[in-house]
Amino acid sequence: MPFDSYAFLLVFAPLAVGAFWVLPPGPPRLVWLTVAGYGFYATFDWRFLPLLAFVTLVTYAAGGAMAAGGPRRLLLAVGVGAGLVPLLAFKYWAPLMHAAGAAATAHGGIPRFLDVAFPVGLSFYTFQSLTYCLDVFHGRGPRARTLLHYAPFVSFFPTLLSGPIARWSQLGPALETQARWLASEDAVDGIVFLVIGLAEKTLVADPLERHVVTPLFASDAAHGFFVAWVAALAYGSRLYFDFAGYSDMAVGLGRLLGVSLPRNFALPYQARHIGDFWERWHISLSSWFRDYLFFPVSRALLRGTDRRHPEAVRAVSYVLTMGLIGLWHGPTAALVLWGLYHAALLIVFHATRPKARSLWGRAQRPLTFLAVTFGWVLFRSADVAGAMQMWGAMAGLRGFERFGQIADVVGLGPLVFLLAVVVWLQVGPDAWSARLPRTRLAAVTLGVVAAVALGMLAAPEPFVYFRF
Amino acid sequence: MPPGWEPHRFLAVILGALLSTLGAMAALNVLVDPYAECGTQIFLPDDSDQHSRVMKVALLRRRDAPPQALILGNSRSLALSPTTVRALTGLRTFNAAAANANVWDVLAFTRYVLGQPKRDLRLVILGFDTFMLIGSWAPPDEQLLYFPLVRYLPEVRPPLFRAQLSRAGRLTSANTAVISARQVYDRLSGREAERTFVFDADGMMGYVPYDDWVKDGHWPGPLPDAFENVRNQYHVSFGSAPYLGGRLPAAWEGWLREAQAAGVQVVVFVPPLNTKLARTLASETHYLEHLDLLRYYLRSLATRYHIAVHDLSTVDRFGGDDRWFIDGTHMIGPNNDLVLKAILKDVPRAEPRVAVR
Repeated sequence: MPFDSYAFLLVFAPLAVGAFWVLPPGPPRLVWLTVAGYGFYATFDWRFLPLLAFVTLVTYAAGGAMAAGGPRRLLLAVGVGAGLVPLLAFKYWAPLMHAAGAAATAHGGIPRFLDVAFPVGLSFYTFQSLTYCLDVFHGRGPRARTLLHYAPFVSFFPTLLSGPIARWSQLGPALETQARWLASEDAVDGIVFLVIGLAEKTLVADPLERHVVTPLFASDAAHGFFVAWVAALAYGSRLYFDFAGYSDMAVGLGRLLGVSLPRNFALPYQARHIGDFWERWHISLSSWFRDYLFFPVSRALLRGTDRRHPEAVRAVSYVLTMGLIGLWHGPTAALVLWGLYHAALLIVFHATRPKARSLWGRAQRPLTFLAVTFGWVLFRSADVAGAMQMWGAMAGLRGFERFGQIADVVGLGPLVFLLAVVVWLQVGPDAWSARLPRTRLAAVTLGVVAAVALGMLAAPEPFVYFRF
Repeated sequence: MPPGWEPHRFLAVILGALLSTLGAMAALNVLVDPYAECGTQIFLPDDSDQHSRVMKVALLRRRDAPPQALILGNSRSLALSPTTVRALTGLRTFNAAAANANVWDVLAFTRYVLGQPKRDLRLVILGFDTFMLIGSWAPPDEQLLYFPLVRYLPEVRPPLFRAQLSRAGRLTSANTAVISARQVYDRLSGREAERTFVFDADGMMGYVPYDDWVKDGHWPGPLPDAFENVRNQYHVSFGSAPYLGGRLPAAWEGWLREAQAAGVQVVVFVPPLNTKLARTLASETHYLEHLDLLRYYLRSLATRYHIAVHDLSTVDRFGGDDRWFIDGTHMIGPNNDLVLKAILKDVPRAEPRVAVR
């Protein structure tokens, strides 16, 4: 039951939100949120409910024991282990074994219980629970008052499947102190975010996927320069509207439950440089890696080298962090390479930063956009060889099409639509920056957009980030 | 959000606009009924797709009386003439064949016609292609899960409540509204969509403009490009040895028992291939093994269920001509009628049934 389904939008979400506000504040609402989260998760695969409960219980217990003065390092290891071991097992063990060709036994050398579909949302709720343990360990935040408060934090259905990865300091206070009634401003903001997110998904991302990305990436071998770039631009746009749409819907649902979730995208394709891009793209994940990996590793390496080689330390930290961000998305060479590609961009950017403005001038922003778009080919292609073919075409090694040929391959309608989308991404606002006036015109527009977006749900494309 | 209207008023207008838009789209979609799910019958569904099951449903609904004979099968049976069948048997006939049809199409349309008030189904003619028996267990075409056909496939359909929700989704869908609006525009502007085929009121598909070439005596024989396309496609289809699973034969025989229990006579034929194509496939693929397995199975059906089975896999078996193919598989011109004459020669002309109280 994904967000972009009738069952969720017309039945589950109204029921979950409505019952939350009908119940009295305190334990009844917390229990309800937990039940709703587990029920929501069960609609994808009920077999993984015990895993969700296990991660919740162990990380809560570890955080609580740390706060109570227990052996902190041991408890941190237990809490982090409880989150990471299932993640590593489900996400990496089976695919790595398959990739290694371990087919000696009936299940490819893989224990039967691991040779199953990846538990949806595991990467997200694991990281959300790890932040709790790490923050308690470092004294950055308070511990959860009770398990009744902590359980809905991990299983909070708006963020359970694909984030934004919230921290206890962001979500906890709202769970611990609940208002009696939904504030009218939150209701309006929640609906606005929900409608805009749904529209981003169904009116932009899905048509781009259906009419441009799927056909072009299915036949990447035959493309020349322009069609290859059209394919990459379409995928980059689709990916943004798909994930930003999901995140905005999650934020809207959060607001309707009285919770302010963090912003996950901040106009990333308007970034001035690649460092700026990573402060705007999938912010909850990139800031997680920044705070819990990049900074600690950098600090440790600087200490270890007596601060003599800061540039080398930064480069190593980028390679490690971005490589792991790639690996977090999946255990494939293409995704790891995508992470390392961004590490290389960041290293080059920092090496040339003092001269960047004079070197690139006003071209910095479009160049950043094109460099990011170039990298998305790795993200989308089935393997590195496929990506290399597409890159070859994007580099002009396979010739150049005339406009008529491009229109024949892509279709004039989809091409014009893509152009409009790309221009919008360069100059337009998003749900956070658009200051929607509260007028009749705005309300009617939102209502019509909501109806059309709802009306496009008959055959939605799956959310890209569900597979991560 | 900058201040302006009171929040509750703002939300009320959003809700009002949402419901009004959904209502307007639903009204348009019910009026045009592009998927033939409501039975409005002002417009016919879009017929630009020869996979169209909904077109067949819409045409069946428009008939004064349910058909007494049904032509079923895949795209190779789409151009068989109901008029010819009526001339030969005296039965009101409808062609319910559909491209890529499988056992679910045959079950759904037979049951649909048998489920009509005043039903009088007496004969089913089935063009049994090798693809319909041999190979993997295929799910039903999406349009078979639309109303009203979905009611007739309890073996594979979703719960009816969910099917109703899906229909509600389609009826309030912007995608459907775009199709409906286009149909209204075409009707009002008198615009004729460019198409390569068209259905008549009895469900028979005509090829545009090839049927005119046949009438004018200018049919050149199988079109080289189309012939090559089919040959390439069949190279893939017959690229591996055939296998016969247990589920497909069981489903076919279930259908056969149902039809016979309803008093329906079943005539099965293997549609022909152009000789050149058949020889090419025989030398380059496993085509003959597929054909032999189908023949073997049909012979066993004939013995066990006492049905008429006609192996018309080559043109010499029914006095046809290798020129009368579009692409080596799809017949055009006289071949279609010659096939019908060959398979219906032993079917007696129908007498009106006398109602017995």
